[in-house]
Amino acid sequence: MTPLLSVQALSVKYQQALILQNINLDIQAATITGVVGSSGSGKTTLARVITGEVAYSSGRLLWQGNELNSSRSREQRRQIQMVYQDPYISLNPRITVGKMLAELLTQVRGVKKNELAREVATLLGLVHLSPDFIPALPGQLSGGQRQRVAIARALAVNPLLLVADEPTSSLDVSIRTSILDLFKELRDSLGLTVLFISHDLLAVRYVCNDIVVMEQGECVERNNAQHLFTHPQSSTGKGLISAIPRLNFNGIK
Amino acid sequence: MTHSAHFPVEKPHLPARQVRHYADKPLPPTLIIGALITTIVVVVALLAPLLATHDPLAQDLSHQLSVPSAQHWLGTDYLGRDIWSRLIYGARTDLRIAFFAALFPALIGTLIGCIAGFSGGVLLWSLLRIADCLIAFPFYLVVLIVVFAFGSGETGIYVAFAIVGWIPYVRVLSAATEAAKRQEWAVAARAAGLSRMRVIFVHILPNIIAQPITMFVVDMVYVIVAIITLGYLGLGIQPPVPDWGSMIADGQSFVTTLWWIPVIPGLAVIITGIGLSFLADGVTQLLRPEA
Amino acid sequence: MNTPLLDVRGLHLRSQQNPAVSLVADISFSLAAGATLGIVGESGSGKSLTLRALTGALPRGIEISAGDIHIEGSPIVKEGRVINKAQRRETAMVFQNPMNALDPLMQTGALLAEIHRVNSGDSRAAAKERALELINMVGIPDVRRAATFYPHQLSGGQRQRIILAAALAKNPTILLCDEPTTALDTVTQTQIVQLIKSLCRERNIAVIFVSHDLSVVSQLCERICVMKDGELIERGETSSVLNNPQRHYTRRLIDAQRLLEGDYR
Repeated sequence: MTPLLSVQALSVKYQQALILQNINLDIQAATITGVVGSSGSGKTTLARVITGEVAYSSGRLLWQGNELNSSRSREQRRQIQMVYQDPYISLNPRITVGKMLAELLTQVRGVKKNELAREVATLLGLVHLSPDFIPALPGQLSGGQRQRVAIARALAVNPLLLVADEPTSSLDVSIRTSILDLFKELRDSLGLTVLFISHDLLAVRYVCNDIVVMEQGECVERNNAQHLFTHPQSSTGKGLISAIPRLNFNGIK
Repeated sequence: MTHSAHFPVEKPHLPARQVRHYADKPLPPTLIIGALITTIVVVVALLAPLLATHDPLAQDLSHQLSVPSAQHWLGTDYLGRDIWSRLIYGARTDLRIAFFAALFPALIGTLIGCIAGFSGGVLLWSLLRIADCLIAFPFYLVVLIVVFAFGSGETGIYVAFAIVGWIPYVRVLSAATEAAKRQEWAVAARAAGLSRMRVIFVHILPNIIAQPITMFVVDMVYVIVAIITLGYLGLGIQPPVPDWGSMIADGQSFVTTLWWIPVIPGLAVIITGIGLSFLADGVTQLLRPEA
Repeated sequence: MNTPLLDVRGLHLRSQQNPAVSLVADISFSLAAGATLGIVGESGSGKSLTLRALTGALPRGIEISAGDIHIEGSPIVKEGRVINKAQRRETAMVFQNPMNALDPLMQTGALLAEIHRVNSGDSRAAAKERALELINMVGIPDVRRAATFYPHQLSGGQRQRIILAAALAKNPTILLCDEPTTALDTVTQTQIVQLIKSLCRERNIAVIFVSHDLSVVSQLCERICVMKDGELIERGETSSVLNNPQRHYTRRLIDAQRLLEGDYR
């Protein structure tokens, strides 16, 4: 089956330094793939290359079998959307939730005025927010609610791939699982594909089908999520996993 | 294992809306004073037809240069025209010209600045270099050249100011737009597929509009002073249109005798200038984000 | 009776713009010398603000409206008013490490030397030596070279170590840590936590560690406070709170963390 996204021998060079080296990665539709690594491993750069923000120096990027080069069609750009880490700065503080979603629906998807209210409500429903959120400004929302709105915004244009860069790292643990569950639900019900970049290994394990481990710009390991955690092969993988802080029920000596 | 079946749709417990971040700030004193003065001047100008005691253009050669009296509150000028009426009609003229002369370059400069700042690259670079060249020309030099081309009067002022006045806006707006376009919400808006024009003018501009507004108000002061100066040089608003500049120029020779003839319009200019400047300062302070 | 090193009673914080709204209400806790205390809570729980109230670094527009703070027995804040700023020198803060936590125009050695000099009055040469000691203390190799680096030349983990060194340069008796590990990968996180643990133990420095990561806090702190919506809702020894949470909210936090940790080994 043709993968939705295929990264082939991709490298990114910046001022003599190799940020990404020879990355090979296939992402199938309707999966959630996690990318983990220490800071400086290049995982964020990889995300930005896929969304088109950063240009790659060599290799190929195939989207639905077609090559993606530096000038993407409008259609291609619409199909890959991003969700950012900090929900506090990724929403325009002056526009209400309803207006923001309505704008995208009319401008990008051409939704007619008489269907707008229904479509906005449907979008909010996808992220489990009631229509009462329509007149709200981002400043009135909690972090978890903002992140849902950000996801709704990404979904508004009907993307095929969602690139999420640390989407839950700014959120508190008690609401983290609900956002992670949301990703799973979107994958299962909408067939959405997600690329989940994070240093939060527990979140990645909870939500991803497969996980890719990166170290200094290279892909050092790729495996199914459960297997990776029980039997990591790379030293980076082993190091990261063994260092996960766990609840210590025994007190400090 | 998802919990979506049991997952309720979230309802908001929305805290009070803080639509304007500065709604609770104490109003800066300069804002209050500036707004007060400016409002008074504008109201007087608007109500000139009602407040004037005489037709500002009516000459009465039998009552030239009379001292202030019950009939002519501020006396008459060398053609017997009532000074009070000319003063307040002059306010209409000068404020109107100041407003529009400052407005055109503000609009042009903002438009160009935003687009250039957002596009970056060669467009921005060339624009800034053009701006660098034009800024070398002193404003009054440009005005004189324009006046010789167009003749003196209103048009000359509009054209001259438009040529020179747009530059600061381009610089400020292009820098502000460039910075704003990197903000995540702007990047997201673009990535979602919204057009560049839409993102610039509907999303970014409202967030950066404070500075150009302040600049516009300050520019009005600058134009008023320019009108006065040109009037002094005989290149300003041509008679018989009442305007403070020509009133001062015409009244020069009486400064030691009937001193109020040039001084009162002079004071009017100063007060209006102070009002507008304080207003601009107050608005800047109000809109300044908390450190 | 032993006077605690730090004693906070009935601390109230509020916004100057909206005095009716309490940002932090009635917080009381104490800290013995060399002890470790964790404060966990979600964003908006007031945990960071509480920390900043102790060191006098409250953001503009936020003030202490009531409460007493004593450090080493002397009052710093009495009935909501700051009365003695000098004693705050006993405290030092370790910030989270986004790129702007360190002055981008200062080399790390210069920064550390400056902090040391201001706090001790030593000569330039002595301060320079101390800076090198500090860099070594926080585990950065090739000390002399590292001292010439600017913040952007350091990795995230190294920057966090320098931030820690900067705090220790003040020779504090209380180290206040505000989410220092949140932006780091797990390996670096563990290293920083171990570093804080060992350095503070050696020097008998008390630590208050604020985080929303319950696991990290449970690895470092003997005692723990849970904050929610500006209130301190549960406290006690970490092991008892974790094993036997009294409040529903605390239980939810623990359960969410356990859900994520799963049962892999």
